[in-house]
Amino acid sequence: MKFSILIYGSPHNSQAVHTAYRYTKAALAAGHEVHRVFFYGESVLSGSFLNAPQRDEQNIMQLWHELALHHDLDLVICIAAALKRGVLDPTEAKRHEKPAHNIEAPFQLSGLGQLTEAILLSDRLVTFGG
Amino acid sequence: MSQKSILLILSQAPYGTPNAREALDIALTSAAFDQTVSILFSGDATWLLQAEQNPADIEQKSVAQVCAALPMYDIDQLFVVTDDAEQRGVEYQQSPASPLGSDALSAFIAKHDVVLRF
Repeated sequence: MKFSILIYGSPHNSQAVHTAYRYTKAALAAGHEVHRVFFYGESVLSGSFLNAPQRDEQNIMQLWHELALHHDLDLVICIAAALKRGVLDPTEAKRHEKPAHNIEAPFQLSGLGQLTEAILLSDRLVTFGG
Repeated sequence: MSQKSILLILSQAPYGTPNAREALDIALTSAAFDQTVSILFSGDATWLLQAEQNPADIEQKSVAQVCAALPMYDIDQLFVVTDDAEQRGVEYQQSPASPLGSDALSAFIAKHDVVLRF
């Protein structure tokens, strides 16, 4: 079956992003396809490579990063939700005249149309809220 | 592009978190892609339908105005869980949302291809 994942819960104040990660990993292990993971709302904060958790805590950005490289996952961060939360790629940092960016591949910024497309092309959309 | 019926179930209060506004943005985008979008206001999200909101008092933009504009974007399938609204004393009667009782919810939700919950 072809899944897409929508996450909007906070990576710091909820379990949503981590549960979505475990769900995605389990779906892939069971032989399912994951068409896209769409980060929305507070979950966009999990894409920042400036997150610096303590050593004995999990780095959720790193977990998604590794899973994406291993399975060629499409990790899309909603650009509107990201910009207002200070989550920028080099292009947006330049456009908005900000001194730094904090997003890199395999994460990519794109619009809500990518969520609609994922809904249309997937058998199931599973939402992980706060 | 293919067609799916999308149901957004809102359950959180309009102000205090961005969830309601961001969920409505999904509705507007999906409608722009010619999808059939319905919205169900449940729980604390029934407050989105409250008449005479004045969010300027807390320096917020009006979520009610976004709701009022939905029919202009062909999102006219709006529903409110009446039990939830009445339990909270929400004055939803003048809103464009159609009343839906709790007992009809499961059958209503099952009619849609995709359900997103906020």
